[in-house]
Amino acid sequence: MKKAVLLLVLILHAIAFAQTKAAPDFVLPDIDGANYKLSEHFGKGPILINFWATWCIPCRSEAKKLKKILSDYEDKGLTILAISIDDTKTVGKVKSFVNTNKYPFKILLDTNNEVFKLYQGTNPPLTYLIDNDGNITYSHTGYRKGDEKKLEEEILKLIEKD
Amino acid sequence: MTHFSRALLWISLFIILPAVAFAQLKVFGNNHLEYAYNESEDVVKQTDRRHFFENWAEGYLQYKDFRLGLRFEIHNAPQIFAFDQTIRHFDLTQRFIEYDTGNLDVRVGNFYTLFGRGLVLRLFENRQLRYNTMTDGVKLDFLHHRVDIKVLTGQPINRINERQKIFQAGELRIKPIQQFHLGSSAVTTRPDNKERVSWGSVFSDINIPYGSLYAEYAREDNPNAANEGKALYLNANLFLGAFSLVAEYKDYDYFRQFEGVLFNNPPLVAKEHLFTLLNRHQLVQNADDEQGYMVEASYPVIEDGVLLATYNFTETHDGAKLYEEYYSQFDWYTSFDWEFLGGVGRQEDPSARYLNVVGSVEIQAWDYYGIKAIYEHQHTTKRLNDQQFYSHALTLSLSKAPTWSVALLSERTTEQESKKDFWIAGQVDLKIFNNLDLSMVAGTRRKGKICVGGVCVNKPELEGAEVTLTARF
Repeated sequence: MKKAVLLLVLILHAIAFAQTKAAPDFVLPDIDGANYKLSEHFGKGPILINFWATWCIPCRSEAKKLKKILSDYEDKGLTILAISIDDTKTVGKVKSFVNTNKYPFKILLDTNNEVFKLYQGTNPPLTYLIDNDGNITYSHTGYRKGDEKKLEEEILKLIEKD
Repeated sequence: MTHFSRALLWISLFIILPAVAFAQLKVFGNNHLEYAYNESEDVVKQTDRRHFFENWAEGYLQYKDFRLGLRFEIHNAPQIFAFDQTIRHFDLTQRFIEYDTGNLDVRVGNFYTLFGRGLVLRLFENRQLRYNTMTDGVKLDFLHHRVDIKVLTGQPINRINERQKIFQAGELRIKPIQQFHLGSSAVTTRPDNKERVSWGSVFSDINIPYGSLYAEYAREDNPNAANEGKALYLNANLFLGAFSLVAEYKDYDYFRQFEGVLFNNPPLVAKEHLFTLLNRHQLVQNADDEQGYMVEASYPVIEDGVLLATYNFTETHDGAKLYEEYYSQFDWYTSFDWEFLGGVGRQEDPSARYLNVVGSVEIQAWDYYGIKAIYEHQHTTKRLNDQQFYSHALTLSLSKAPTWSVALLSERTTEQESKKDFWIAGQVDLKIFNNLDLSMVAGTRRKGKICVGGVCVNKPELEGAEVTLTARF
C-alpha cells in the first residue's frame, strides 16, 4: 500500500513538472476585514503574490524593491498582493507595521498559513507571478540583493505579452 | 501488491494520466527532503543513531472547484524531541477532498482552522517546530461580505499520530458594515469517562481611519474541573500620520485547553524577534495562569529609517513576574541600497536576565552580489548563583542573485556549564531552476530552544551535516 501511494505521488510529481501551473484560488481577508478572492482579479493585468511576515528580515528588504516595482508598473496593470503570514502572535502588529513602513500593496492576512501551505510555502519570503489567465509564470523563494531584477524581467514579459 | 494498491495504480494510469493529458485536471504540490548526519554526543546517546532522513511529498489534484490533497511522509529515524522514538513513520499522513467555490468550502479529510485570534480554537502546523494539531473530519466554511460561518467536526491527532476524542466547533462572524465585525465561536468535546467540556467566545473587530480595535472574551464550561477558565485579549492600533502605536493586553486564567491535544493558541503578547539569540529566551506560554501587556511604538525618523521601541510584561495572577522585556531597534535602508539594522534590549525571565546588542549590515556589492554580516551579543546573569557569561553569534554571507549564497555561522559562549564553547558551520544555498532549492550545512551548531508563537522546541546539537532539498511543482 505504501509503495503504491509513493508511486502515485512520484507520478504526480513527474506529470506536474510538464504542466502549466494554474494558481490555486483562495479567499482571504484584507487588512480591513473585507474578503478578497484571487480569481475575481484575473484578466486585469499581472498579479504578483508575495508572502511575508513582520518578523522576516529578507521580507523587509524585498518589500522596498517591490514598492519601486509597483510604482513603475501599476499603471500598466500590475497588482501586488502582499499576504502576511503573521500568526496569532504577531498579526496584531501588521496594521501598524504597514502604516509606519508605508506599504502601498494590497495587504491580505493568512493568519493560519493555510494559503501559504497551498502555495507550497515553508519560509518567507515567497513570491509568485500570475498572468492574465491565472497561470503561475514565475516563482521564487527567499530574497537576495538583485533578485528584483529577474522579477522585473518576468513582469515585463507578461506586460508585453498582454 | 494488495488489491487496493493494484486498483490505485490502474486508476493512476487510466484515469488520472489521461485526464491530465486533456488538461482538465491540474496537478501541483511540493517535495521536501531533509537528511542529517549528526555525530553530536547528545544526539547519539539519545537516539543511538547518526543518520536522519525525512521526506514530505505533497500533491494536489484540482478539477474545477474540486481538490484532492495527499501527503506522504517518511521519517527514518524520527527527529528527536519531535516524535516518540519507538515509532517509524512511513505513511500517508494527510488526505482530503475539497469542494471550494471561494464562497463555499467543504472539506472532508484532514484540515486546519483558526477561530478569532486563537483563544478558543487554533489547529495548525509548524513544520520547523514539528508542531501539528491536524484534525480529521469535516469542515464547512461559508464566506459572504456580510457574514462568515465555519462549522466543523473531527478528531485531532497528537504528536505520535494518535487520534483524540471527536469535537465539534463553529464560528459566526457578522459584518453589518465593513468597519465593524462581531462574532462568536464555540468548541465542545466529551473526554472519556467525563462530562462534556465546552469553550466559547465573543469577539469584535473595529476599523477606523486612525486605527483599529480587536477584543475577544472567552469562557470554559467544564464540570470536570475545579476551576472553569476564562480569557480576555485586547489589541489596539493607533496611527498618527506615519507614527504607529500597538497595544495588546491578555488575561488567561485556567485557559490552556488540553484534552489529548492543545486546542487553542492564544496570542502570546510578546515580541517576535529578528535575531537568533533574542528568540532563544522567549516567554513560553502558560494559558492557565498569565496576564500581561505589550506596547510598541514605531516611527520613520528619517527617509526609510524606522525607529521602534517595545515593552512587554507578563506575570501570574499572584503577581509573580514571568517575563519582562525592553527593546529598541533602528532599521535604515539607504538610498545606495545598503541596509542597517540595530537593536538593544533587556529580557528577564525567572531564571536569568539577558542584555542584548544586535546588528546587521547588508550591502549590494555589485549588480547581483550582496554581502551581509550579522552580529549578536548577549550578556546573561543567572538568578540562582549570579553567574555571568557572554554569548556571541556572528554570521557572514555572500550571495549572488538569484542562484546561490554561502554563509559562515558561528557562536561562542563563556558559559562554564556548557560542554562546548564554540560552534561553527558553513552553509550553501542553491537555487536549481526556478522551483528547486538546495541547502547544505556542515559543521557544528549549538543546541537550544527555538520559540515561535509561544511554542518552543529544542533543536538538537549538530556535529555533522544537513542537506535540505525542496521542490515546488
